[in-house]
Amino acid sequence: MKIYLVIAKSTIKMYFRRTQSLFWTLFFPVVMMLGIGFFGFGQFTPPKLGVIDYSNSYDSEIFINELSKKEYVEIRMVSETETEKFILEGKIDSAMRISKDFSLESPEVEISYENSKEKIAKEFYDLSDMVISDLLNKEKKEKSIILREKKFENEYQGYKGFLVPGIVALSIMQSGILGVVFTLISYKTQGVLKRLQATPIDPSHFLIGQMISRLLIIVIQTFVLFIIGTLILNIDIALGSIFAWINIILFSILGSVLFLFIGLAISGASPNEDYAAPIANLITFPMMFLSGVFFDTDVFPDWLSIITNNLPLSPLVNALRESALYGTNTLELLPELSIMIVWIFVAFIVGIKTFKWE
Amino acid sequence: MSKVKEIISVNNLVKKYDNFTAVNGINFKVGQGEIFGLLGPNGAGKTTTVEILEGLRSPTSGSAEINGIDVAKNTKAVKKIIGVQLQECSFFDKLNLFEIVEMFSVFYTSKPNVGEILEKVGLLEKKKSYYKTLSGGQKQRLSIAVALVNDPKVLFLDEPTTGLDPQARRNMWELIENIRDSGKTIIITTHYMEEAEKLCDRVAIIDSGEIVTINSPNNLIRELVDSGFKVEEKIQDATLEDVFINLTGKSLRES
Repeated sequence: MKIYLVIAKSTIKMYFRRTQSLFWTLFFPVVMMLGIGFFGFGQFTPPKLGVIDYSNSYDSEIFINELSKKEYVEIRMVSETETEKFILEGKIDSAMRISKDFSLESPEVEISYENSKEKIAKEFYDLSDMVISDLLNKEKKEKSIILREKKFENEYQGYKGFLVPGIVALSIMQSGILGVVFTLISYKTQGVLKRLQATPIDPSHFLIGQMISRLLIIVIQTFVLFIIGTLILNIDIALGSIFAWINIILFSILGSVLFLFIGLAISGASPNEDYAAPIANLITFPMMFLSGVFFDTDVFPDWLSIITNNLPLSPLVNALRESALYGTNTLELLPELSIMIVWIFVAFIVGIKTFKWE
Repeated sequence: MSKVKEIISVNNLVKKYDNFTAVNGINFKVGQGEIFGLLGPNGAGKTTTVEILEGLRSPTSGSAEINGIDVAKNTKAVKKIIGVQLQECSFFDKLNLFEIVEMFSVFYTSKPNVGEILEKVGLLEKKKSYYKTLSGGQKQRLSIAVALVNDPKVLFLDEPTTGLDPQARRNMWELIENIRDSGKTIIITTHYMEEAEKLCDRVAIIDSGEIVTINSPNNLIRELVDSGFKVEEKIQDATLEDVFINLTGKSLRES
């Protein structure tokens, strides 16, 4: 036990003395988080309008059809139950309910939006009005659409709330994989591991000590990033729900273990840096874009989603996001938990089988 | 030799890799307190032999015992009583020398006086430095300091002076003799003959995985001379290295 403590203590000491490791685990994710969080990708994509059609009439169909033809908005049909969630996650900017008695002559709609999106809601309103006028060939003297407004009560986190858990998950992956791969490979090529083998300790003690210290560092990193997100980007961790923090601790530990094992497997399989770096990039890079770190994976076709939802990073992104946004009960995250446990098992077996000391 | 207690015995040791035989039936014994040299050209099998004794490689056949313990069967027990300096190795880059020696002593569950060990190898004033900043000679001396944390019975030194300048080499010889004087047995590999002549009580000359001869350096030289061998040029009273040391001094050239 003392051996683990000493190795873990020394590893943490070395970690904090190595400036580039601090750069990659803290500075870089924080800059990325704040950069994208403040400026966002929002202005590069058209505003998204969720439509709930209560009328289901011929007229409403024509109206939605015409609206969809406009290139500067993205129309998405949503259900009443999804609406609030989608607005909170920033998947849609506002929701338009087409009333039951909707007709082109009496076009009654209701637009829901959150305070900060008033401008966009106004654009949707003007656009809808224009579409109706065009359909009726009316002169644009007066507004033809009958509008009711509904402002959203809940605090809107928007893209920032969506982004921060994604970046935290990404950082867990990067620290887990890259940290282990580059230290172990350099210890291997420089002969540090060989020297350890000449001592009476079981070399696995050294690996376990390394893993424990890395795990601690990653959990600390996770909290620092969430706290910076809360303080600077004003995101709200599930309105203070206790589940949010329990899940964040649980999943950051699971995520660390998973990616540390993947790192172990990569360093086992590669004889030197020349192999390790490309393999590590080949594994981490696609996940950065396919696991929903920056964008929602809803846009992927079904066949692709089946693959992407099961990548090692995806359940971690989902679980952290669900927890941070809604404080989801841990039991509801069992699917994510089980995917991660399967991957931990796979990575562990591969790591043990491939790891060589020389 | 017969009077001294035998601490290492190697019997018919063989190490084969696929189609290549690195060590081909080696036998030798080392007495307690000896400095025993393994000499030979590169690739002769010196390092392989030493690494089998250190428990880093397992022999294909044959056996070796250190202090009566079988190296292949009870590797861990052997590792506890030996100190090892490897030919090519490095230490943790962001730990200072004191921390490195301290960490290794935990691996041996021994509680040495780290300052004393560093002083013995002349690195006490460097205790706050990182390994990377050391000169070649200092790195070798740290390696020896680490090998001493468990107060070993046998110390293995694999080419401890390769790549060192003459001053550092002489300094290393002095250190090795001091360690021997403290009662330890030392196994040293080298391809510098004057080093072997200066340090070793006995040497084994290895070539192509086999021991060609074992004897003390003086006896080996006498045998050769008795067989009628003559150095072609007149033996000079000093060597070029003596000139070099005379001109540049004995003091170590490292900060």
